[in-house]
Amino acid sequence: MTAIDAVNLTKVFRHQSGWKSVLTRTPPRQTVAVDRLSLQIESGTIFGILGPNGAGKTTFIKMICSLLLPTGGEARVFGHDVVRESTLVRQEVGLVTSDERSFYWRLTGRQNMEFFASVYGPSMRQMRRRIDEIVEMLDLKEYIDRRFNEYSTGMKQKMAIARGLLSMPRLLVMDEPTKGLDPLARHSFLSLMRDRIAGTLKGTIVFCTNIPSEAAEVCDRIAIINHGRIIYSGTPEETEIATDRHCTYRIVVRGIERAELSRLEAIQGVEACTSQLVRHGEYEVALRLDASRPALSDALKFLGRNGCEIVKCARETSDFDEMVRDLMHTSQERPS
Amino acid sequence: MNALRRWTRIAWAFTKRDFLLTISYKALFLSQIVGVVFWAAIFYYVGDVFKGVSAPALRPYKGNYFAFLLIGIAFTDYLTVSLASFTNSIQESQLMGTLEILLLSPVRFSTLLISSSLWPSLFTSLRFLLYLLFGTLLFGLDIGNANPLAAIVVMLLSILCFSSIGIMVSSVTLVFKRGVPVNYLIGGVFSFLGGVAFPSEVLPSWLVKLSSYIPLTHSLTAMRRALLDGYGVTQLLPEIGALALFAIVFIPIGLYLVHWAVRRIKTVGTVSHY
Repeated sequence: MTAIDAVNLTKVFRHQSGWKSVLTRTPPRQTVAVDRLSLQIESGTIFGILGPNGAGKTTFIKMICSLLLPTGGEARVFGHDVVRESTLVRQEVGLVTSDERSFYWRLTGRQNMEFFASVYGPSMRQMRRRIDEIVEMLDLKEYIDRRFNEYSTGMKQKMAIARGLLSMPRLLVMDEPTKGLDPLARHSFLSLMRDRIAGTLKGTIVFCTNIPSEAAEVCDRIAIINHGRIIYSGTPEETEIATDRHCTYRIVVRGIERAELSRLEAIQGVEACTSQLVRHGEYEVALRLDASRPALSDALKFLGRNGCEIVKCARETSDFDEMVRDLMHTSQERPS
Repeated sequence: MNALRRWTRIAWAFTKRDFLLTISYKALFLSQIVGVVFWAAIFYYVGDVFKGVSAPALRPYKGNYFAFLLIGIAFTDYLTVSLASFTNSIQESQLMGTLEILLLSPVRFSTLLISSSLWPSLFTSLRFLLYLLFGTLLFGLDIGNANPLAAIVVMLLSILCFSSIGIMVSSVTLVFKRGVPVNYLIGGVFSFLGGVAFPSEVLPSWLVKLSSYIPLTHSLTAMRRALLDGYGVTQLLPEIGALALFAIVFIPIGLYLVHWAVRRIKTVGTVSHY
């Protein structure tokens, strides 16, 4: 079943710059935040939405949550139209934001939860039981009866998740939930999300982040958004293939002069070649190759012809963050 | 039945939340209660200045300016609070970031808005009762003939009228992020024409005519008559009818404007702005 089905979803913000522009009939400045975005997210997956600040991630999820009306296109959540059936959509969605202001700081964690439960849930008795279960699951028991203003950032974030889970939504949307967390808290948050939340909810999780490695750690599939458009969609593993514009090989060679090695750069498809002495008579060569013109065999033949012994040859694994950056960079270079 | 139970649960949750938040600021809470005594004393001595002065406009109130002023000011609290509570509730939600979370709930926004005004109305009723209590015990206010049923009917209808105006103003707050100037304007005009501190009859005749188009005029006239002269519901039918008419007209307009304002902020993307 499809959890989210967006077709040509578009959001244009119009900025009128004051009364003067109204009187002079100056047309408002327009920003296309989401540009004809089409995306399907299957039910039961953890789906990562990646993109730099201002890419359109939040605008997209706000339209999905019916907090923002699209300018064009359409989107459905479990078959319900986000504009015409917004009440049904809101029954299916839970939202976790990184905005720690969105609680009543002078109330305790439990008082906050009970208040939000009253507007989200079916009955208070059921809700109290659910609050206890969620509190247990998120290890909040020790703190839940303390005032919210005494919580650490990590605790506040757990409270945001707890609130998102109150109605046991079929779709949980998390908008940059790790923002402001230290590396340790971030790591434990991601483990919690993968091991406990996904297991308990058994629904779909949409995880928005601008940190690619986070998405790679927890998501089944990802989509990368830039300038309001999807520039890539697939599994984190497939990203490597998509970004394979160049690859680097590290070759350890023996019995060749360093000067000879520099001639490798003359081979077609070799973008760069550097070498360094590993031990006496042994060099490590870093060969950067154009992925569209496989030149590895030519380079190895060249080394063999020059009578050198190849001790080791390995492909360098790419960093996921770097790959995503690469994709974004490519999308910017491409004319729209 | 289910819908009613659900609404009751939501209304209770909002009232409990606002009560807990109010008492978390203990000094402010106590000063609002204790302040009633001082204001009652001020009204008493202002009334004392005019004791024995023959003022034709005060004749319907047996020349008792203290009783006139106390009921006028204390009851106008309902207007002030009704106007402010919706605007404040929205502004606080915008500032605290809870507006998005509440808009995401499957409950109508108007239900949430009305629920958020229950505690302010209850607290105002408590203050109004304290005004009457201190006025009676400490300053000799005579409400021995009061008709409580009529007073309650007038109070409920007045709350409906004032709240629907408050809801209209809240749509301004949602769109423009500030509704306070509109509140000041409405509060000022209503207090001037409505007969809060002086009987409306002393105004020029065209303003007297204008004052009959303001719900506060009918609320205050009816409340003073119910409390001071013991008028019953049937004797107050003209005022009660006028208040009911105002409520019938204002409530749908208020709800429509809020619905429009929510749609507007969802279109321009300013739900989380403040």
